[in-house]
Amino acid sequence: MASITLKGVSKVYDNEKKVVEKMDLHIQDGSFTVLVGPSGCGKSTTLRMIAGFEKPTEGEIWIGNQLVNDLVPGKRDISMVFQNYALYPTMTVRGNIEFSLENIKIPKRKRKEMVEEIAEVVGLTEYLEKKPQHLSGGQRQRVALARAMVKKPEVFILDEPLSNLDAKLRGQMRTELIQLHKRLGTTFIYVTHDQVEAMSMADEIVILNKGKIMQQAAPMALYNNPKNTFVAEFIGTPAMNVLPFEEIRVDLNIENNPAITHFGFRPEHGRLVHSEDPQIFTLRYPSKIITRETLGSETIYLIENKLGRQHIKSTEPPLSEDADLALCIPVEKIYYFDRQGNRVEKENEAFPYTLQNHEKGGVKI
Amino acid sequence: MPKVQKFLNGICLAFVVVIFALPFVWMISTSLKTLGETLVFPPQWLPENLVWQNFLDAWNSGPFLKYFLNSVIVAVGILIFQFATVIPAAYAFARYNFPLKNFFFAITMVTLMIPAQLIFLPVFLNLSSWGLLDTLWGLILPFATSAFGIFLLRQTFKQVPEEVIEAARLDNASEWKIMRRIMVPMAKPTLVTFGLFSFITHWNDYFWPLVMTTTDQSRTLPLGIAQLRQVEGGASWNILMAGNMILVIPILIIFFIAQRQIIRAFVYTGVK
Repeated sequence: MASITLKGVSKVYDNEKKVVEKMDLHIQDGSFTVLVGPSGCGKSTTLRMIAGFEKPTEGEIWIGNQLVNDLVPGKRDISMVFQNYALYPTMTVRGNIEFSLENIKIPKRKRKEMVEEIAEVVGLTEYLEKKPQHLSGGQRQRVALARAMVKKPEVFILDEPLSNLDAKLRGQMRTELIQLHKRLGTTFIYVTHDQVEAMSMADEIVILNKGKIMQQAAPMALYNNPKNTFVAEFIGTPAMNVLPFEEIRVDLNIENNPAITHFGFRPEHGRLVHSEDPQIFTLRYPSKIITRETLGSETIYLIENKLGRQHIKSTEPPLSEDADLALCIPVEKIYYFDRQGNRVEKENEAFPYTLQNHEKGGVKI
Repeated sequence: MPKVQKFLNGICLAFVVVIFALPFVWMISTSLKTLGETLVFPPQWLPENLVWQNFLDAWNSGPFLKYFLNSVIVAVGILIFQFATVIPAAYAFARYNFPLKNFFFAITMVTLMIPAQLIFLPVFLNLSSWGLLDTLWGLILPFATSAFGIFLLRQTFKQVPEEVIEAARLDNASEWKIMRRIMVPMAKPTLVTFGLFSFITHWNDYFWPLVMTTTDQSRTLPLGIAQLRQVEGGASWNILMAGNMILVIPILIIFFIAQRQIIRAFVYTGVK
């Protein structure tokens, strides 16, 4: 087991585009860390630098207490599961799993034992003599996992391992990976563009955008305390509604404050009520439904009002599309952002005093 | 309409069969005729009695065992040298970045376009100065590598997904081992096809052995068979054709064994 530390790591390709920029990252020993971000955010490059397939342009990469900048991939004690599995097509399942053991010169009998033990764990025993092309996607995935596990590495790297599987299998493999991580206790680094995978599996999530870390925190901490609009809009389905602050500033009756330019609230925190409903919120806007997605357990509305368009998620029975509605936003659930998109927190001195009063007794009935 | 098309198709196929198969059938049939039967007019398609003696006569008309062994040594020797040079070269061109890579690859490709007849004199003089005239080395060395092989194999190696090689590197495999255990097995159909082309070409090669050899010590089968024509009193076609059969049969056998691999080489798509 080992922790991983990146110190001021940058990667610049020939075309002078910075893919990763001055990244400082610490991944804790034994954690399940997910790197997540939109495509082109530098997550794969970061991963490939940790694995040793790419050399960082500057900065240091440490695995445990070893500086690995100049260490070849094979010597880093890392295993990787690739998106397309990258199995050796001409070898049997046994050959695939055995290959790394063979290369570090483990005696044949011992190898056989280890391979069979791992095959048992991932449920491949009866497929050991088959070639990868005769296996299903899920089985290939298991071979890739077994191949990675058999080396008993310090660090496990998984590069979008589930994206080639169908939805049902993906859910199942997610659970299995969590269990696997619990059992092995090894450091897992998992790369995905899917925030659902990130939220459901991670101990810690690192959100990347344009080669920079936007925020690194535990899943619920990210959800509850996004540090900026990017994180706020990235985590959660549908994304957080982020709107100009001016409109509600007037309604909240506070003085002009240049520090805050935008506010946001999560779709699940907004409440749709019939306009004749007596509930009185400070922020209440007559709205109309534009689209409605009924998902069974919940309903997602796209609504329009004088603030603009927002998504609202509700677990109550679906409302009729032409109903006369109003959107109520609980003031204590609102996030405030500055011009750069960074969160303005209550502790911040730029945070308006009057708003703090609202925070205490936001809902008036 | 489809019926007419089918008919036309049939005619075209028949035409091709006649062009390619007829000379072959003619060779087999002639190799089993008596000398008299080869000369009758109108031509006689099938011999009355099968004269297997022709094969013995051909074989015994010169040191054919020596020719045959020379041919085997030369063709197999060339093959071994070519695999030994072509595989690493193709791997390097397909998978590495090194200075002047494109320049070197261009040079390799250019050699494909130079006819052998154009450079045989310099090569001959070169080998002569090394004292390799009339030796088997002189027949092998000029073909110790193959630009065509490098080109063909490079294409195949390029199709192998990068991740497979990266996985092998993570698995602590040396470059040599990656080439031997992963790349070469994946390129097996291409290698078999290339090997066959090379083997057939050099097995049948007449020109270069003719230039290089002066004694039976290093002559190969095609030269031996050509000598069958130069017997006194005109060619005995039946003996000549029996000699040709001796030349062709090994290739036919190899071809039938490797057929499946050749077809795979042309439909190979790789495994993802």
